[in-house]
Amino acid sequence: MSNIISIHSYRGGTGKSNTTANLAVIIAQSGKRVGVVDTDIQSPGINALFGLEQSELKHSLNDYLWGLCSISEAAYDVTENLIEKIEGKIFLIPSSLNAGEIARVLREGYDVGLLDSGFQELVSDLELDALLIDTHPGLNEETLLSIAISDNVVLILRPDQQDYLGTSVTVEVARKLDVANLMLVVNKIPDVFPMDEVKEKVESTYNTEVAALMPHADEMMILGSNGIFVLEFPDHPVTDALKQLADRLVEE
Amino acid sequence: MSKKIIKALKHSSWFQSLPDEVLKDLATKVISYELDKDEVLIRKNDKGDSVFYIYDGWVKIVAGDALGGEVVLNHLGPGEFVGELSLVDQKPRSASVVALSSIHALELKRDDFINILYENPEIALHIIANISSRMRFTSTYVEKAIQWSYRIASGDYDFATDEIQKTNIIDTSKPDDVRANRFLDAFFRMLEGIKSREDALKTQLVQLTIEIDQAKRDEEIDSVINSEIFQKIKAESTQLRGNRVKK
Repeated sequence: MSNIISIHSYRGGTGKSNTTANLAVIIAQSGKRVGVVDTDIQSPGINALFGLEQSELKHSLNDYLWGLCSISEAAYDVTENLIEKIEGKIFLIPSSLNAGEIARVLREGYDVGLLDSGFQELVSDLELDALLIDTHPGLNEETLLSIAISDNVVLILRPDQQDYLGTSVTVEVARKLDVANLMLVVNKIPDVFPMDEVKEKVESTYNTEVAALMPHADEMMILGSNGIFVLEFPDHPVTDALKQLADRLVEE
Repeated sequence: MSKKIIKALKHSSWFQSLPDEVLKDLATKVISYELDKDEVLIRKNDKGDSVFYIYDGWVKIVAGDALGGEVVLNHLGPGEFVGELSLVDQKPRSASVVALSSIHALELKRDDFINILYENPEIALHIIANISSRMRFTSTYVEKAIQWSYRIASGDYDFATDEIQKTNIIDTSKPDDVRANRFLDAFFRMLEGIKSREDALKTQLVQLTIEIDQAKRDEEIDSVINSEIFQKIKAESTQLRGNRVKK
């Protein structure tokens, strides 16, 4: 049985796409077949991390949602794009980067129900061990759906006042949707905060497990979405935290 | 009683050189006080028209702080004069004087003092010497306070430990040493206060505070879970998850 994992945050800029891409690589390194769906149709971006250009895209998630292709036709094997050979496979289903197509989604919307059947198709067609869903920030329809159908929901927040209320709302909504495993990840933690104190405070505030604590990393900023962090910086504390999170996600 | 007073006056720096008959006369003019601990000898803002001579016991000079509390400015002991500036400037008392133990003190009114001064002008020299010594003492510590204040302003607190050792004065029988100790104690206590407040602020800065407006949170949760979309997804989700398990 495959493992569907939603990576979500209430606000943008929390490091959602980077976390998703890096988790996918870590899981695939152990020989697993991993799918990554970018459901952030309004502001896509995970393709850059896997070195996939708009010009290489014959189809995207948008085409699938508009009935122009099957979802597997919008899946790209990006394993070879990585700087290092890995044992498993990574398939990316990107959203369109085309401004016109983004505008069309915003204008016309789409049948969110198609997302769910699309996920099922992907899992069986590509024989996926894990499917990672990079969601749009906030709590819109596709996000609620992603949360509802996931085995694991990873909710990312920063130690930032902007993130606290929305995270709290999302935790409660996820609970109401009977999510099996909900976990928090605190990202971009400045080094002035003691990690154990952050963990304790966040867990007691949200009454939810903190599965990983990731320090703020200048290297992440310098990399600037031009690659996969865990491959570029295998010995970095952020890499350790991501590995720990991946272990936690696949053990379920 | 008057013999005791004459003896006491004879030990004072101001009057020790006076002939016995002048001292006898002076002894008839002074008012003798015997106070218990915590009794008030001088009240702040009272009319200043006399000087007190402490010949037994210790007093504290106190001023009020902004919160109505007591700030001890100084301790004075046997052989010391208090309130002597009033003899010259006649201004109201600038601070209160309270007994630290049982004390014996003598009060000399300004008019009597002036008369003695006219008849025995050499007393003036002793008084000037006494005041000069206090001024020298004061200016030494004012200079130190200025130097140290600059260092504190620049964030350098480490000098305090060295200075405390260097200026550690332990001869409690010398009134000037007691005063110096009081000054040093107050100054370094201030320094510690500043430092610990600064440290507390630093820890506050690195302590993560998570504040969530509960009313706003509940309102937002309600608006999501009462939406049609949520209800639909909620109704379908069990089935959606069930389908996957079957597959």
